[in-house]
Amino acid sequence: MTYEPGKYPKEYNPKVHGPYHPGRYYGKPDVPFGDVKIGDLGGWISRRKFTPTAVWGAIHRTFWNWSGRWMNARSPGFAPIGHIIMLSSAYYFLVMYKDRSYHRHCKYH
Amino acid sequence: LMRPLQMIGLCRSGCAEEPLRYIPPKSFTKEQRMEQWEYVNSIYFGPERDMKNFPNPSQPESSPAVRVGIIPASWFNFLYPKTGVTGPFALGGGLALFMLSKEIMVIDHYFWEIPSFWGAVWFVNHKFGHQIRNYFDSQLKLKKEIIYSRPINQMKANCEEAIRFCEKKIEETETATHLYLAKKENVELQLEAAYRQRLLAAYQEVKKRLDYETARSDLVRKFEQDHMVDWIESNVTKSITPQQEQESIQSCIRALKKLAAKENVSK
Repeated sequence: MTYEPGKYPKEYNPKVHGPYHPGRYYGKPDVPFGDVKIGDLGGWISRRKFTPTAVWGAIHRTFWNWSGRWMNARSPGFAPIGHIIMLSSAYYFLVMYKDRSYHRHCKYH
Repeated sequence: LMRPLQMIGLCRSGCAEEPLRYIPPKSFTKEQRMEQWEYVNSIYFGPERDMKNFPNPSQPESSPAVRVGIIPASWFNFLYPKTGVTGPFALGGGLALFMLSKEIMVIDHYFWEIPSFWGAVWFVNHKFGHQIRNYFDSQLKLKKEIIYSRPINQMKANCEEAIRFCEKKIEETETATHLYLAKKENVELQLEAAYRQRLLAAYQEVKKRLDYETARSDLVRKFEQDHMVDWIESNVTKSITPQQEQESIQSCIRALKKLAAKENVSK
């Protein structure tokens, strides 16, 4: 699926797909990962696109799906905020890991 | 102190003393909106729409169920068939132990941020959780009522009132048809009476003229007849000579004598 910033994807057709949902994949449908057979796994992976726009499209769709389920419900609760906190904590953990593991080279730590 | 809707920028600002009345942004007329609605509906929900693979997106009522505050319950249910109830907790605890043993997670002074933060979160939820939830729910309810329920119900009530008013007016004006018919009948009767009057007058006039003509002709004939009779009579009496008179008298006497003789015989 083409992803152009600020425009609808080329495969999106309002008459067939209805109102635009950023979390939906409007390209050619493929077998979901849970239903892939082990023998076909290599073929399935080869069909994935790893271009920057495709990667960004995947992140975009994941965010919108998560947001639609968790954050933009009628009365959400604390859970989505918890998700944000944990994800940002994990990100900063990874970013700061090198600095935090500096102490290991010391004899007494 | 701005009200929530104005803060979000959803409605134009009213005056400070105005109660929470929803003022929609002025952009299109009602007819324009209806046109737009129908056009968009015809495209989004036309005949080609694939409802099976791309159903209409809708807002869920609440976020999915969670365990331990933030972990989705679906992850627990995914592991249940293989590991039972304690599986995910064992996984979490084992992960923590692994990170500790490998010195990925070190108990330094940064470590205590995690328990203290989540402890504070738990404490706030324990003390004020219900209050916060009730407050947000009431705000949502108020917003829905102001934007959705109240205008629609008011419009329905107004429409019903208009219907009742119109029905009442119809009932009141039902008599108008009867009134019209009565007046029409009245006028027709008057016309009929005038017609008959004129008919009678015409008949009488004609009869008068005809009577006059007959009387006139009768009079003329009578006069002629009388005159003729008198003239004949006078001429006849004039033409009777004395000799004729004597002869007639003699014949009458003879006749009388005969008659007397007959009568004597019959006696």
